[in-house]
Amino acid sequence: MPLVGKRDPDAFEVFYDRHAGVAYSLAYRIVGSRPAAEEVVQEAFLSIWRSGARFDPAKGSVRAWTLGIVRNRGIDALRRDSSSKAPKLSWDDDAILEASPAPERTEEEALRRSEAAEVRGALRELPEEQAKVIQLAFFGGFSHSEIADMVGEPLGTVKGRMRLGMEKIRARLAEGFA
Amino acid sequence: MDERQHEQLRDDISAWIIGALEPAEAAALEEHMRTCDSCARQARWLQPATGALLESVDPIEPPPALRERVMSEVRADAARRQPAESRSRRSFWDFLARPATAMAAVAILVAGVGFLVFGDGGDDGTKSFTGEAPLISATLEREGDTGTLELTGLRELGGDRVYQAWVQHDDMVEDSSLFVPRSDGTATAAIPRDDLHGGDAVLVTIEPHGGSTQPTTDPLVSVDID
Repeated sequence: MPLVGKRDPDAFEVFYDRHAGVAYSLAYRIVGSRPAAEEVVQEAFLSIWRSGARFDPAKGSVRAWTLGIVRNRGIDALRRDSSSKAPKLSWDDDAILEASPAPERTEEEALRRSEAAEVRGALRELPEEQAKVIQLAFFGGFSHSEIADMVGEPLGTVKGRMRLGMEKIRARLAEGFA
Repeated sequence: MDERQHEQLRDDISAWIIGALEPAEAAALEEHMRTCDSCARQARWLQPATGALLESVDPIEPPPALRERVMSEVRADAARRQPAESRSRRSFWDFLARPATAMAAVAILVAGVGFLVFGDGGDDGTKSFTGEAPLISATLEREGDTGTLELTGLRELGGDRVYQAWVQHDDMVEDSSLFVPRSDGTATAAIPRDDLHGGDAVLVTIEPHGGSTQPTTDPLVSVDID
């Protein structure tokens, strides 16, 4: 990462190869189309390059930081495009199932994919109403009050569902998916 | 704030961590968490769950054309930056290799020895240096990565030239601030935020009005950065 910060193109290429797969998948999940996802990923990676990669290790991993930038860009793109539909609401939506998986280039990548699958399993275990409000907020960029209008429930109910769902995900992480 | 209110805030923390609060609500919660250990702890505990959400999507192979577009832009940008950085970060050792510069460096070194022998200042968080004749003295007062350079003995330059401060990093120099002396030959130059970070010394040269992207004259003074 220090070399990326010094704008070393070769180091940036390695950085791109390491994170572009999940970044693209996340962008696609948010914006719902391949061309728009490409635009989001391109914007996100070029902003990282141009900013000199102001990454603060104290605030988490490089991967989480990168994906956070991709998510923000994706939500911005959704908001820019007023004709965008709300994201699909099932964790098993067709686009994800039909997507061709990235090759498992390294053991580390294989392990990460295995962990990601575990996380998806934990998410599937959430009651649908909890998963739905979390997805609308996290991948759709909607506020709790917008979600309350969409699902026709009181604001307090929506916030309560978000809390229950997030605490369950966190608790599963603490268990190590045992 | 009582326990019941904290319990309500726990709902807000979950909403905040997935970006679902309105901006004003988010700002109020963030302000509260600055002074509330209990809520800040809850937010820290939940944070890994957002990482799990980010990672929860199956990797989809991005198109090779996307990689080509990104890397092509990156390499073009790097190529555009290179000439500019070469101008502003020219090799300090190349600079010293010029005969006139080498002479000036010797003069500075001699003056520096005199400074050390006579033990003039430098024990109060400042670094001082005495430069060329007629005697120019410079004192760098450092605060973190910023600093203030105080100089005396400077001559007036007229309207077409200015003094320019530079920060030396290993064998490179980076431009810092421009300044002109007062009528009594004193001057104060601010070394902006972060300029001193990782630097070895602050140098001063005379440059054309508007400053230069690389030194065009020999350094008048050099003050070590601790």
